Amino acid sequence: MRPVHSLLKRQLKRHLNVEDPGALPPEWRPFLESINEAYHQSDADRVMIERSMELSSQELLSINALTKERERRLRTLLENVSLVAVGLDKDGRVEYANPFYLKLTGFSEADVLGQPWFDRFVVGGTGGQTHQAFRRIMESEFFPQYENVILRKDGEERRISWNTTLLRDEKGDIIGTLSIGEDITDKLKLQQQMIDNEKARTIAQLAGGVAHEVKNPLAVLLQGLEYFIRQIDFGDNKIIPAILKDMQHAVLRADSIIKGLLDLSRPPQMSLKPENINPILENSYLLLKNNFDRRHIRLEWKLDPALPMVVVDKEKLLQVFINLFNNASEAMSQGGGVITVCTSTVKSEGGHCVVTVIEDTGSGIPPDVMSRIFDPFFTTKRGQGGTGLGLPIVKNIMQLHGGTIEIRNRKEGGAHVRLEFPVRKINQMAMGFAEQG
Amino acid sequence: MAKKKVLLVDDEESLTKLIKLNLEATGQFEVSIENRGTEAVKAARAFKPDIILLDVVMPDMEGSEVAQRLKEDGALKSVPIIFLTATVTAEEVSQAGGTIGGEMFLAKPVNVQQLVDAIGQHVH
Repeated sequence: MRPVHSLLKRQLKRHLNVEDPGALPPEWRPFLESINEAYHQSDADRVMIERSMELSSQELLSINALTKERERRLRTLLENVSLVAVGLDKDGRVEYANPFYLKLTGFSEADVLGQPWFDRFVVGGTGGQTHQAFRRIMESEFFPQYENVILRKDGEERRISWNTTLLRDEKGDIIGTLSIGEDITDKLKLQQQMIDNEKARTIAQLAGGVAHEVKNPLAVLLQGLEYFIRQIDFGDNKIIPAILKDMQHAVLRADSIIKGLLDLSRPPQMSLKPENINPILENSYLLLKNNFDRRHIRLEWKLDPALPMVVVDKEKLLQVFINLFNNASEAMSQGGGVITVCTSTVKSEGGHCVVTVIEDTGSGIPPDVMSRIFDPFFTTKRGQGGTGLGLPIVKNIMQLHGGTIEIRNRKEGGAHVRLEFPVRKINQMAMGFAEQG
Repeated sequence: MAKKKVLLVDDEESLTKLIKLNLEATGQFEVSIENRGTEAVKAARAFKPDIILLDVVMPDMEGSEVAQRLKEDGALKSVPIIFLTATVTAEEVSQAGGTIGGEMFLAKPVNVQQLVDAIGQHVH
């Protein structure tokens, strides 16, 4: 038998006044033994329970620490990645926005927290595709990858590629979403540029061949027509000389298209010099003034008199501005209109830029053709002398200057063209000349 | 005044015929035609031109190669050559000062007056 448990001892003493259980009648023994056993067992159970409680509390502590560490890591990650992270509650209100999002968009935390995400910060807004994707996530627990366009505080749009995950509370109920997204705006731009370059290369290859094949027949036509005009006396017949003149003009028009194609296809000889953009703009206008006056087209000048010099090819820029002025004028109705020309300097990534904005009060660009306006041979003026080479050549020239061109429609109607020329440092200029020389 | 002798080398037969007609119609020129680049030197030796109008792209021999051979020929090396080209624009030629790599160029399609002026500049 196990030693008599202290509690049993105490109870024997108290109730039966016995110190030694051996003094009790032998028929009590099995009964006493089983009670004794029960006491010991209970002790063992208690020890086990105590130990396991102690263990689980240690475990809980360590789990807690682990969770905190994980949270800290996740937070550090979200705070430091160059990715946008936005948490929404289940109604689509912003609960969390990471510093990168705030930096990218220019919003402060106070601007965004608690605000309806889709209404305020997403192009397309509530009911838009992204909002529908959010609903799908919430309803069917399906986690799609998707892209949308978000708005910066200044109205600029950025395209984001998102990955979204559901957030749940401890009971497992869905409480919202956490989305992490990459700003792919610049990547897409670069891709587009590569596509454009590829197009340009293809055209360059075509251009030489086409030019040769087409120019020879044109030369034959021109020489033949000249022979008729110079050598034949048509007497009173005025129709034939008129037809021959028309044919001559048609040949020259075809030739000018080929010329445009050749212009587009090759890096033209650039004659770069430091120039002030303002007088080049004014000279471009002077070449068109008569035509514009006749058509009641007025220019409004907002030129910055303190514009820094930029390194450009003056002749090429004349071509750019004349092209853009002509486009603007052709978008005007018969009643005429106003072309506003504005120059200014802005800070850019690599220093400063001279910006030229040309706005008109014309009909603007139909949205369905907007994406094609820089495509060679794309024209909305087919049959009215449009070759579809104007804007591609303009873009080409801007690229040759390390500059950019952006065209959009104005809210008030008409088109808005923005040209940016980098202001290069003097030593870079010198390098530019050396390259030219 | 004696007529200036022009040798016209171009594979485009109809073009050479018409240029000949137009130039000769001015009364200032006698024009001989050669449509094969490979025969140009022989034709030049026989015709003894004052000036040669030479196409750049020809199927049997490039204009530049023809020019090289003409310049290697003692009797012909001083005869001025004007290249006729369909792959360079008139603007590019004039921007380059009328010559490219020391050669004179006329961009196709040329009109009669341009030809007359260009020849006049080099043959007096």
